[in-house]
Amino acid sequence: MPTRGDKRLAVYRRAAGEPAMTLICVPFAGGNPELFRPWVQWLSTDIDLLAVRLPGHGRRMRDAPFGTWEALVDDTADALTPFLSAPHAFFGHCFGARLAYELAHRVRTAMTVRLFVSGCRSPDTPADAARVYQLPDAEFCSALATTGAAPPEVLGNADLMRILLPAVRGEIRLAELWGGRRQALDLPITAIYGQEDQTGERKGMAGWSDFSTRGCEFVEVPGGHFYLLAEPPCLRDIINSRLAVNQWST
Amino acid sequence: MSQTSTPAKQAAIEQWVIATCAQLGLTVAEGDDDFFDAGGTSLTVIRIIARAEEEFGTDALSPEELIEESTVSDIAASIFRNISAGTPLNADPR
Repeated sequence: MPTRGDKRLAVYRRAAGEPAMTLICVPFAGGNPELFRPWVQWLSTDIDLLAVRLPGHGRRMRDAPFGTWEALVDDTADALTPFLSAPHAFFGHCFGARLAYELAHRVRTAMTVRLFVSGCRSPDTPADAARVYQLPDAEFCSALATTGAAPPEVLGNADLMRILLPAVRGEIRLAELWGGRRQALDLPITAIYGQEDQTGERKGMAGWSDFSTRGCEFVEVPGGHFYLLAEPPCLRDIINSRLAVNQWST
Repeated sequence: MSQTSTPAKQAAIEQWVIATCAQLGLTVAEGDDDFFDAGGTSLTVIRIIARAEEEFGTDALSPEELIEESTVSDIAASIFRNISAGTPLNADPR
């Protein structure tokens, strides 16, 4: 392994010994893995934390975005291989939840103990909003601004947006085109949403109950679609309690 | 520029990069440490560029340069190159 590690992953905590499990996080479209770095402060100390770094972000800024789900899932699963033979869980928000779900399907191992899907319609629910991924840059940026996820300071910086847009557009394109898969996973799902989330992602979450043979629970947290950015304290308990060893080990 | 002052000047810029990263909440300690490994995001890219322009002048650092070469030494070298050229980035003959 190169000294700086695989640039496709941001490893925020790696125990010297054997951890109880690894939590693998996937950011939303346009999101940076850094979103998850603060989680080491409250995540149970026996859980290692890493986040997926997609093309076009941070050290992968020069990598071109993937044009298909298959290529994205192949590459991400490959990056995660060293972590998949030990217990792990996936957490993803919106676009990241889609990728987390696709990864759980791809790796198909009993070592995946839980899938957290956050702010994301179920795979069988069609997108209810007009697609934005094909809009010209100015309109596309306006659409991004309305989500509240992209900092205005970043959106207002033309030089930087020119660099960032291909990756953001690529991820939103995949998010908007995603769907159609109908197989259930043989692992428990925790579906989390902001109580004030007015998006189609929230409205389309109920269908997740059909995507687990081991049960799907729904958890409401304060906030809107991007509740995650505010890091509500209740999220800590939700994640730590679901990942506690006695919840999943046999 | 005089050749003897170059390493000293570049070292001073490196120290500025380390201190500025710290102010932005990124922990880097030496030349090989990477801006993005330390937690650099699009927001911190904008902020360090703004501070570089305040400190060293307009066009002291471009987003492309920071993104493509992102260790502390790389960032200092980019700034040094840009302010030494004394011309806008696009006119840099390098």
